[in-house]
Amino acid sequence: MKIIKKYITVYTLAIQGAMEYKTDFLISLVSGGFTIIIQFFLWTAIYGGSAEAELFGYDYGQMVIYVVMAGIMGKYVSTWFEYEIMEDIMEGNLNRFFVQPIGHLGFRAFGFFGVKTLENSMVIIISAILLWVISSTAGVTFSLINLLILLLIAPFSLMISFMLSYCLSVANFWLTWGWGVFNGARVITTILSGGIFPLAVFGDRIASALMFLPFPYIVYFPLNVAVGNIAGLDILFGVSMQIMWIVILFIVSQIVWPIGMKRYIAARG
Amino acid sequence: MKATFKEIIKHLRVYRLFAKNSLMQQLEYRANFIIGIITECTWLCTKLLYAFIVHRTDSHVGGLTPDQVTLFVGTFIILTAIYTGIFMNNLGSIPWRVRQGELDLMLVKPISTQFHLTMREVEYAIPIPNIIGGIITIAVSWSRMGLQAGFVNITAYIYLIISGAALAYSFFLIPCLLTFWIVKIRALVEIVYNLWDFNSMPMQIYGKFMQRLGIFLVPVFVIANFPVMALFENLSPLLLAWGVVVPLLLFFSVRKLFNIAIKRYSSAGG
Repeated sequence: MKIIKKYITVYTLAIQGAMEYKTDFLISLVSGGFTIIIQFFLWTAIYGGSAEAELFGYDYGQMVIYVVMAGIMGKYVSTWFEYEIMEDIMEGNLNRFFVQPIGHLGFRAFGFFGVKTLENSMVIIISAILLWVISSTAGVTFSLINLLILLLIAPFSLMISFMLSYCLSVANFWLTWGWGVFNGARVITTILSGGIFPLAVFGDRIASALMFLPFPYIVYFPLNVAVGNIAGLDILFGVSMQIMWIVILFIVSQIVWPIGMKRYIAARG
Repeated sequence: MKATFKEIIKHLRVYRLFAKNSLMQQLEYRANFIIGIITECTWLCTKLLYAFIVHRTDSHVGGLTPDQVTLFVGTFIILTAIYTGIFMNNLGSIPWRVRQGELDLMLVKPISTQFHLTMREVEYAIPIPNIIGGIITIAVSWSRMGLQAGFVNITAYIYLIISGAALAYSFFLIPCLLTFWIVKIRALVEIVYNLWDFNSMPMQIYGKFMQRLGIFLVPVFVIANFPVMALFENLSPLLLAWGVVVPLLLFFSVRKLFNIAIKRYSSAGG
């Protein structure tokens, strides 16, 4: 019980911390909204200028829902703690985990999900408003059941994103300043996860090959469920893949972190 | 007239020193420099993805052929190189410099404070992939189209790229100057900075209302759209005049605003 209690405290403190910066987060949502507007107009123009009613396996309504939700999903699964870990390693702040009765992964996970609880509540509310606006102005229809399923599987996407970033954070033990690496990795992850365009735009072969990686299960798979391109047993298969990647990345983190910790010198600690 | 010319020469000499110092500083951390180039390559890919999509769908976006859209994207990439190389870091650091009281030294230097504050750093890593990628993109789409642009169109294209960059400087400097009145302006700056992305695709994809808004009220579409429109002879005399006037107008307005703003500087952190 004591073990659970300390992690619940981390989670609660993280929510309280996030409350302080909720305006900052809302503003970042507004500025991120520009990309959604550009995408909406771009695809409206592309479908308007194309003779085909369906492009890359998506009709206009599905594509609009996809690109709008991809922008939102990007915020939903976004991580930031790799930069905090970079500072922790540079400043020698990891020392506390040698003496405090709390694991680093547990501390990071509960802190992350605490902040995300608040942020993603705002994301869900804003998504609902945005979808309502799109459906009433652009005449795009969507299935409520599919959106409910998306709501259920999105936390798995969040967990994959967390575990990926946690594994990548280990690079901080080798790099003095990993800022550029994380930024580059973020862009690559966004593209490969289908966070800008559906992976189908790269062609069937590339899209199929990418399905062997964890990235598509962060955005591409859940959004295809939302637009109705994945249904029935395929959803169950996708969720199994999500769980499998969470487990794999957890195992990887348990291997690479001890290796990285051997390089830790508590420079300024 | 002679005094003005002398001042310009002096500032150009100082700028050469700024550029040299920045290069030496950035090459001191070579790994970071290389990582910066690699990171920017990934961003470049996202910009090119838009052109890739238009080609794959063979769609005529806003009446433009896929090659015309690609030439637009190339121009946007070149403008991004200019903006990130010369202005971005300088403008982004203004709020911090004002808060830290770093202007004290700049105020006593025998050069323009605005010039010193907004031009002192030159970024090299970010523009390199953008310049290469932008030129290749423009060259490929140009040759695919077999574009036969006359001397006047090409001159107008180059002039409007330069004036577009100058417009971007003035436009993005405005929110930074608010730091002399308001302590926390990060959020506002972030929102305005994201307006840059509206140049990633031709303005023809937006409705008439948004086009007018982006040309006359918040002239963000003037930056990347007007050079390409001049090249394709799609720019009406009125819009061409606006494209020439608005960067100058905004530059002199920002100059005035800067002079007003600097009077409020109180060397807070110094």
